[in-house]
Amino acid sequence: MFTKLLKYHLQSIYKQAIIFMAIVLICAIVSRLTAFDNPPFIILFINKFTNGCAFGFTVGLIINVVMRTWARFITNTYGDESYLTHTLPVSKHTIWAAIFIASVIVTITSILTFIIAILIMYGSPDIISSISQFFYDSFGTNIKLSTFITVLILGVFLQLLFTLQAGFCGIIIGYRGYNYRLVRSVIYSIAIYNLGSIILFTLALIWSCFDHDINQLLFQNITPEISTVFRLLLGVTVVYFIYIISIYFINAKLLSRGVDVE
Amino acid sequence: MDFHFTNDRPIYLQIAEQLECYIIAGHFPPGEKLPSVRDLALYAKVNPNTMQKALTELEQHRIITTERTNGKYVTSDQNFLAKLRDKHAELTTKEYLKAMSNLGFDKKSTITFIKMKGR
Amino acid sequence: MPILKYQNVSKSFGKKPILKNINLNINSGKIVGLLGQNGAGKSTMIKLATGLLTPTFGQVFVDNHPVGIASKRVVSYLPERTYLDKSIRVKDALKLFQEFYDNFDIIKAKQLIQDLGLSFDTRIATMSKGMQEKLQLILVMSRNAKLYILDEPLGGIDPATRDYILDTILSNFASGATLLISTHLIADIERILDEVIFIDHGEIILTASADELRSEYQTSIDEIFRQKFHAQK
Repeated sequence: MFTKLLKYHLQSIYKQAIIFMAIVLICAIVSRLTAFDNPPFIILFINKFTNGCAFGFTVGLIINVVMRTWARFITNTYGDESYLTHTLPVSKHTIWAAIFIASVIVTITSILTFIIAILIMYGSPDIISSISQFFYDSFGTNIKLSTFITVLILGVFLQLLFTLQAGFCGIIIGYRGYNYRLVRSVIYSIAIYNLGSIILFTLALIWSCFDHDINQLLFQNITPEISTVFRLLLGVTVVYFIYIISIYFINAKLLSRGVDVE
Repeated sequence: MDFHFTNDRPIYLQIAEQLECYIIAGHFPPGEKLPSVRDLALYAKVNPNTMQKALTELEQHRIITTERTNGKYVTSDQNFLAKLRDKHAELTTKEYLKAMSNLGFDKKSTITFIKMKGR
Repeated sequence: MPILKYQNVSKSFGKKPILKNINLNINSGKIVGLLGQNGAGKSTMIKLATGLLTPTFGQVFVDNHPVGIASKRVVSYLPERTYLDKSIRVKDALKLFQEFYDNFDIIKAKQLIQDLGLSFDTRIATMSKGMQEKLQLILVMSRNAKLYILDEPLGGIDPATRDYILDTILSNFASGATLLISTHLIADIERILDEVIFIDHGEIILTASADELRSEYQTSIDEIFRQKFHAQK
């Protein structure tokens, strides 16, 4: 049951997402193909244009994916299609898990698309070694570049997932009422998102009381040590991970109490 | 074979009455096995439960019989059916004569009228 | 053992009470009409039985299970609205039902769809409303369920479609199953009902056998309903 629900969610979301993904990759490829030394003006123009488009459409892809996932959650759980969803012989938890995992998968593919686009546009041994050189020269060799980038990507991924979760949670709470459900959902979602940021900041504050380096990084104007920055990044990642897992179970619990479909 | 009924009388009774007529008229000959309740219900476009009640009603009047697991049969008692047919014919004739008398025909002129129409 | 049981069920939307202390048993093997005016609470009662709403108080049992996964397996529900994703085709809808319900008779469904003259490649969005409703009816009736619940199956359709729907309902429900049909169009449906339930302002006014009511009142169910509610006004 779970896989079937998941399949239908992915089919619906990817219908549009695939177009964005294709555009991003095509732009990246064209941009790379037009990367000459001393190109004629028209080639230079295409190069810069497709370069910009690759970035622009990635943003578009992410917005599209997040919005569509939320919209699908609403129509599937509270709209006309919910008449089918809720009369299927599945538990509310399965229904919830399917949409959540679908959102994880589409987020991963969006980020992957972007990484592939970057690699296509800038992935040459020369560029990589010059970036490495710059990194190690500026920050020392305490942290490997690859580790740093991995944690950075993980952070972005979890930040996106947290945004999705805040939306899901806001929707579930907002739709427990009987009036102005969508408006309430938006308000709750924003509130939850900001609450997450506030808690994160508070935790950072507390951390800075115990850890001198972190204190220096956040509140003093001294050039940061790369390992400190890395630790902070890691901390933020862990907090987001905990948020996402907690909200997952909160949402499952709230939904299992039953829905009211108009 | 058509079934018509109105909503202001118990439907099972109406079906029973109409089935009785069809049996008397020979649509279901004496001793013949009836279609299943479900098939009859589909044919008459009614609820199978209603058809079942109608058949039970006919059974109580001994017009049909149930043969254990074999299904329902029209009674093979031809005498009984003939008598039933006469009874219905008598009722219908009475009603007809009454209607004709309301139009001003007496018994004699009614018979003349029928003979004329019969040609 | 009733197939559907409402035990002290009340339902309010916020402060507004819709159903008030409903106690009702529906026995299996019957075609039951849930009759009432618009807004009487029919749809609410049905949604409680199908799991689309949760009671404010009390419990609903289907086939002796509280409303949940086990009950949903044996309930086939036709809602008032179209719930199919309109961008898909008829064959996708068939596939969906086959995938999600193990008691779906796809052969029967395909036959009924062909009898209608529908092509499997038709997109649902391009079908007329009447056709969409017929398709949904076919999908629902092609499941071998214990309880079929049809919410206003005859609303807003022409007499020919109505006859088709009544015929399809009668000829396709699994034997031994129960049908619960809710409607405010009593005259159109009363001929197929075994039992009737009158509901008004969230309360059950009457439950009885249809033919017994006709015997007692010497008139149609539709007329009895009008009399009851005229008297109450």
